[in-house]
Amino acid sequence: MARSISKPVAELAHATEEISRGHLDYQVKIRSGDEFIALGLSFNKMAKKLQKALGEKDLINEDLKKSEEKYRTLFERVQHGIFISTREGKFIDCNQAMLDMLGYENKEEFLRLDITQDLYLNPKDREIFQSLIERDAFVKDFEVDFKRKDGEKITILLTAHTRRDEKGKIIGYEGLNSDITERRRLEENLRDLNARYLELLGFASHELKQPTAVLKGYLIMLRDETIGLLNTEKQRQAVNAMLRSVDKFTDMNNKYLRLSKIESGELEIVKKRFNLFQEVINPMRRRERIRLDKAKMRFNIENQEDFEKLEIMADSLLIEVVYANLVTNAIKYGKEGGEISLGFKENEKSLIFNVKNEGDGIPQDKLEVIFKKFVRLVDEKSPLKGSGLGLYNTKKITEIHDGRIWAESEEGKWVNFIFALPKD
Amino acid sequence: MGKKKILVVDDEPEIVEMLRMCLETASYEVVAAYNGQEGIDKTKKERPDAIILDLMMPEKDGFVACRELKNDPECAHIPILVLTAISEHFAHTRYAKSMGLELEAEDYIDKPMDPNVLLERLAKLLKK
Repeated sequence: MARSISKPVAELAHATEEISRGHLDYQVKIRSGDEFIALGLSFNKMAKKLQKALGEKDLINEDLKKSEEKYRTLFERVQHGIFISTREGKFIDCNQAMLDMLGYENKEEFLRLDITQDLYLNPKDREIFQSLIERDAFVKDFEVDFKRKDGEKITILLTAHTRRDEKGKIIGYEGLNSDITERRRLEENLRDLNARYLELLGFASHELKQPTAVLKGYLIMLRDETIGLLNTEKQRQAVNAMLRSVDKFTDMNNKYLRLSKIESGELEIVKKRFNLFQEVINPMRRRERIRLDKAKMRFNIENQEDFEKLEIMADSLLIEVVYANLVTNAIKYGKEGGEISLGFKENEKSLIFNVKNEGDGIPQDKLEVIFKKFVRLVDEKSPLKGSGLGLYNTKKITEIHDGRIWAESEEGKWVNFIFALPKD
Repeated sequence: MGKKKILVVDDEPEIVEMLRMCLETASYEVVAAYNGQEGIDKTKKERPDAIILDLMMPEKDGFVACRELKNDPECAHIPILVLTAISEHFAHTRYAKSMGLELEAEDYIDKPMDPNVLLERLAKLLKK
């Protein structure tokens, strides 16, 4: 009896030993003594559970390790500079891109920098950054100039949020730096080019006034027969036709001359009361007919009866420029075979106009940025067409009318440009 | 009474000739100058009854010439009609305001101009 007890007890003790050494697959071998058989089975069950649980933990550890590697790789390989810093202005960690961006080879050296003094081109900017981030808990697209190690200036777009301790006290910041030096340089170039283009346009328009003055002067003398009689009706017709052309040319030329001033802030509006439909919409429909047919598009005028009667107090030339831009865009980006709707409605304070086209539309997050200067959404259909100034100009024009312009869109379906002018 | 004498100052000969034809047809005597300095010299020499003055010219532009003539007691009384290609809204632009306030010309006309309008305005200046 004693043996029949002591053997299973010894076996259990041995098993416990094995398991404690990590041999979780060890199973108790008990063949006698009912209680011991039951105990042995329970033991084995426990051992299996233990094995399973520990196995899972290993798997989780493995997953954690993999995931950490994944994020570490992302951290290191991403093209944006990522940093973690203290509130006082030291870096705690950063990735390779951050070092590359700022021209440091040695991370230790970088981590020793005084951010405010060594990194900010204008140390005051860090104060601004800090006041913003501490107020809102984050900062998005803060544009700032940094110094590279070689002293070169680099323009950064900084997006960051605060780091806090358990009590919620701010202990530092972490975030992302994007190098936009090249983008800014290109924009600068574009701005220069644009200024030169406008200057040239203004110059050309101005110069063209001289020959026009000569033409107009002689033609009027001919028409009025102050310098001799015209012999035939045909001569009179010819002189009158030339005069009309000179006047038309003068109008166009003045238009370009005025638009050339849109950038320098010298553009002033000349308001008059006019019928929008007759002076702007109809001529535009005639002008755009060929392009419209080519794209198999059609115009749809909403509540045409009221629209035709509408008289507005505005600068007709500039409103024409707004419509020309919006309709040109609608044709350029609209769906073949689609419809371009021109509408108008009014409320107490404003007259609201819209140009809507069917087509790919514009992503929600781009609806505002398209009105900025030199922004052109990437488009495979018509790459690099247009100046990137069209919508910017429409915005400027509506603003000098004390109005505003915005866009709405359902992606893949339509885009609607809406501008509102105050009632006089 | 003899013909009234008009000095036309413009660096563009085609404009000068057109204006000459226009003015001579209307029985004026025409003297021409092709830049601001020549305009001042000819004013002193020819004693015109009125001056038609372009603004944008080489050597001495119309702004400077106008100021000098109006500061000269011998010439200040001669009416000046400025012909400008600067802007259709000459009087409204900041540029013109800053310059134009100093411009003591009696009248101005935009280029391209209607010769009839030019003759009317010139006649008005001469009557004063």
